Amino acid sequence: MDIVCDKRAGGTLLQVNGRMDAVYAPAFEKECLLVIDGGEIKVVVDLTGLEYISSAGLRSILVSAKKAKVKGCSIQFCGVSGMVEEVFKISGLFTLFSIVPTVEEAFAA
Amino acid sequence: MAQTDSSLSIAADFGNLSAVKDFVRRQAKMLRVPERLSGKLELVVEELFLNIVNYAHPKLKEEVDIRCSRHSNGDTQGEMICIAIQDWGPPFNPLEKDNPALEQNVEERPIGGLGVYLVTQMADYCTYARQNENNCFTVCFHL
Repeated sequence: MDIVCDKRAGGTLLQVNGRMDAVYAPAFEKECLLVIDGGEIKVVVDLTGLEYISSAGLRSILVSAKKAKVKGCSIQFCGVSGMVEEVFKISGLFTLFSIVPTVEEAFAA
Repeated sequence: MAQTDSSLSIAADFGNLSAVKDFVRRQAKMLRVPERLSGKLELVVEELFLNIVNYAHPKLKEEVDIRCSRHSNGDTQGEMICIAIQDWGPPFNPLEKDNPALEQNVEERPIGGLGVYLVTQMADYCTYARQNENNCFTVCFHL
């Protein structure tokens, strides 16, 4: 898994590529918490390049979202498809989070 | 009737997760499992193997057996790919776990408890058996 962090005027974009399993999920959580703790008010997580996610990945996403809520940072997800979309649906993440198709829509929201 | 059968015995250690996944990937390829099922098979084996690593009693036999097989039962259900995972920990039936609470807000939503739920929701067939001092959990997908 690799994460590209892009600081923009409207917030920070985190592009996650590869596989978010029990081995790599902590790296996502660390990166995300670093941005939130840095005082960012908006984080957009682009999962277009994510091929696989397990419950460990969901756990890291939930930990990050909880931290964002406490810190008053909005967190949005986009580019959810395939296996990742199915896992999100089963876990009820579509009702829990703001999820839009594209990065542009996430920044416009 | 199982057409092809192969198994891996490996210590219940987090560091073995990659080896376990590699084994299942190789078997899936050998058993000509369609690509659309590869992520689901990976998820099943990750969740169930780590469940054993995290919860099985460490003083008992720390070996886990993982078996992949392709079944053709000759009825209308057609062929299935099955993963059976066996451990020698205390009795633990993942199917008896309560479903996680999903309809809550971010603050109240528990961060864990989704692994087995994902497995049971994705699979076409799941079964648990306690036999000869071991737990055997089998998960199957229609091909």
